[in-house]
Amino acid sequence: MESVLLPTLTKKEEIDRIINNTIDKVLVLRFGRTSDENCLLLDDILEKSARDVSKFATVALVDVDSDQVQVYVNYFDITLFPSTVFFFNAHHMKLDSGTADHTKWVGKFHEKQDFIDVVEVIFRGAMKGKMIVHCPLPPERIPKYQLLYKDV
Amino acid sequence: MEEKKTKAKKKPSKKSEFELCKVCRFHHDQGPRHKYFPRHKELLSAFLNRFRSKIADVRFFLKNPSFLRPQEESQNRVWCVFCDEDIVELGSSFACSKAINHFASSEHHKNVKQFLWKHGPSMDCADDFKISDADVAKWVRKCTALGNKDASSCRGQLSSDIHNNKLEFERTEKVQTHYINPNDLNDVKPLLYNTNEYQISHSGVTHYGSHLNLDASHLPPGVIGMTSNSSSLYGDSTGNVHTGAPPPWLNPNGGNIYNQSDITKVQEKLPAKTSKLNPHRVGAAWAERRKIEMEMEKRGLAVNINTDADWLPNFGRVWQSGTRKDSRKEFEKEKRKLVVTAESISMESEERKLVKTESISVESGEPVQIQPYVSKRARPKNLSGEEVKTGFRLEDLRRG
Repeated sequence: MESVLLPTLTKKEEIDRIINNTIDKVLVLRFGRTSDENCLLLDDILEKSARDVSKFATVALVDVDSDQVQVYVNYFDITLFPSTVFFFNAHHMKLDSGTADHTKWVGKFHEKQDFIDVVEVIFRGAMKGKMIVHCPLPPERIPKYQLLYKDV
Repeated sequence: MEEKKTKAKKKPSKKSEFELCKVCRFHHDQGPRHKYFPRHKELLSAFLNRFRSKIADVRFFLKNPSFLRPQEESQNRVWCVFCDEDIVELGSSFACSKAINHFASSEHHKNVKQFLWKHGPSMDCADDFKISDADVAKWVRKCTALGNKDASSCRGQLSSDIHNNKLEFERTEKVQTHYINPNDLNDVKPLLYNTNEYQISHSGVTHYGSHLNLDASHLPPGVIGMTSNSSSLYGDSTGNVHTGAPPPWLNPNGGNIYNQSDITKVQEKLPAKTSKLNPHRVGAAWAERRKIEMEMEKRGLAVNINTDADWLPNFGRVWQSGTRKDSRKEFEKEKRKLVVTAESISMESEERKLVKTESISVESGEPVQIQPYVSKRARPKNLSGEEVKTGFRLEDLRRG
């Protein structure tokens, strides 16, 4: 099986560039760190599916340990890792998966097909002009987490 | 009295005769009620929109009169749905001249009113399908000005090619009767259009399309289309394919058509692919702009400096309600507060350093109160029981 090395971004300019250069395609940005086990599992799925979705999606990894990336970590309210944020034509795409946070996907995907389905639904919704889409996955495949507001 | 009541009761159930609805294209017996039915209303709006677009084309030529080439006459025809007649631009020198005159005529206005009264619930849109006399007068003035300008610039030119020959004959207004055998006119009738008053009144005139039917020996090479006020687009001295002149796009002086800005050039190239994409997709306008920018950057025409350090994408934050712009503003406010608190903390830490060493020198420029050293345990705490920190959310702790 071919593994495509996904670009790892460590600077804000790189993130800006990839957002601005991805036109009419879904941009998948994974925020995480390579030392995390869940992150590695997610990265494996992303790498394997990147080629399959290459016609309508671009995947990139963002290292949250980098200082320059912290502004985006704050802006996107990323508190749990790994988190995946979706963009389309520089517009953020929300995903309603029944969890508390619709702005991103938190955790890993169960399998490759789940990731492809999610990206496909986002792409279809974006092409129809929808900025929020419903997650096609069954609840058991969606990672659960507790979202805290300022530790409350 | 009872009979009258029963008659009155019966009236609503009385069905009218079957009649054809031109808009819906079927027969119905609903009578005048039919025009209020939703399906009819929908079809009517579609029907009127189609005709509106045709009128818009005619209005374009009303504002920008241009010459009508004989070979385009057959294409320049309009069917008036209100009057049920075809308006063909036979022998017109200017594009849509007959159509303009028709739409300005009182008969057409009357037919529009009648149509809308019969088919449409409202008469508001009647003016969309009419052309006012004032507009027609302006158009006539523009046409005469155009005609005079063209005639004066091109008189007296001679060249050997077919089209320019035709032009000369038209402009000098000579009836080339010696080229046409009058006997032939009686025998040969053109197939492309009907003989009508126009044909009979202009004896000795042959239509452009009828050259195939006439004896070639009596005709000069090419076809002569004779109209008294005609002039053609070949009036300029630029030449054409037959004279071997260079095409306009290779003209070193630059034809006006190709003297566009870079953006429009690029835009012409792009539509092939972008027209297939949904124009209502998310970020469509941004995508189009960005494509043009990238194309220009590729060509090296414009270097787009998109390296604003404060740029943030469109994002809807988790704990913010309201629009995405509000989210961004909130974030920028927080960032500014952060910067301010960071500065104040850096100042405090410097002060503490100064207090520790018990030096009086002030780097911040503000007056410092000299205080004795206070240990961490003895330091005052805030309400939450924590020491005054950097101001970040406690989520920072989770990221360890």
